[in-house]
Amino acid sequence: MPARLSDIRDALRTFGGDIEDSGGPHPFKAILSGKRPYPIKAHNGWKTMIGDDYIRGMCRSFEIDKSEFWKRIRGTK
Amino acid sequence: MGQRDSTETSSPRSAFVRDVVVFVSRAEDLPGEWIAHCLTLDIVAQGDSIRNAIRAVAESVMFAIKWDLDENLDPFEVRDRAPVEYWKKLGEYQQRPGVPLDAIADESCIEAAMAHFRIAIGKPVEDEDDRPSLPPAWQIAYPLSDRPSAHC
Repeated sequence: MPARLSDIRDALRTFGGDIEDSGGPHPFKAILSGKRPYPIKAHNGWKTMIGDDYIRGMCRSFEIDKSEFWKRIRGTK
Repeated sequence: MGQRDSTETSSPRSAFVRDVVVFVSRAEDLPGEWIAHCLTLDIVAQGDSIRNAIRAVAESVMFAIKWDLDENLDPFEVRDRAPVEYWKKLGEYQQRPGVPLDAIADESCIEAAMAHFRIAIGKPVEDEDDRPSLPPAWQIAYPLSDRPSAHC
């Protein structure tokens, strides 16, 4: 199931992370303390629908449980 | 494919050349979108065409490497490879006959694709790398099995 980038940002904030908007053509940068930044290419800004494969990749990178992340996405709407 | 602690320190060499592998497949949850997955660094991007997805992941990979190098970290040490199931999936496609991506104009005929990027840090590739060059067909498409490429 896809999710809006803004919803992913809100869910990531509940883990203490965030998504930074570079304000330019560069990828958004998902960040979480102690982890390497994860790039997110979002052509439609915060409204971009991000696919599940993408979300799983970010969760792996941040060692976040994917089902817990999805609960947070639903909880922030 | 072991997990690495991303907080560990690893200084990059002053110059290096690495090939990374990208696997492209349809986004199951986003009709019309393609997912490009850099398996070597486990970075995912998406696009509304195969080529756009490859461009997107290339840019994402470039920035991830830049962010790591800016902190004097070797991206190939501090970032994990994709889990083994993704490599197995790629391996299954590699058993099938592929065709150069450029040979197929209609992406609706394509089920999946693979691409290689060569990343050179610090020195021109020619000075650093004595490995054989990648084959010309560095972007390989795997047509849908029920639609031979000759019809695309």
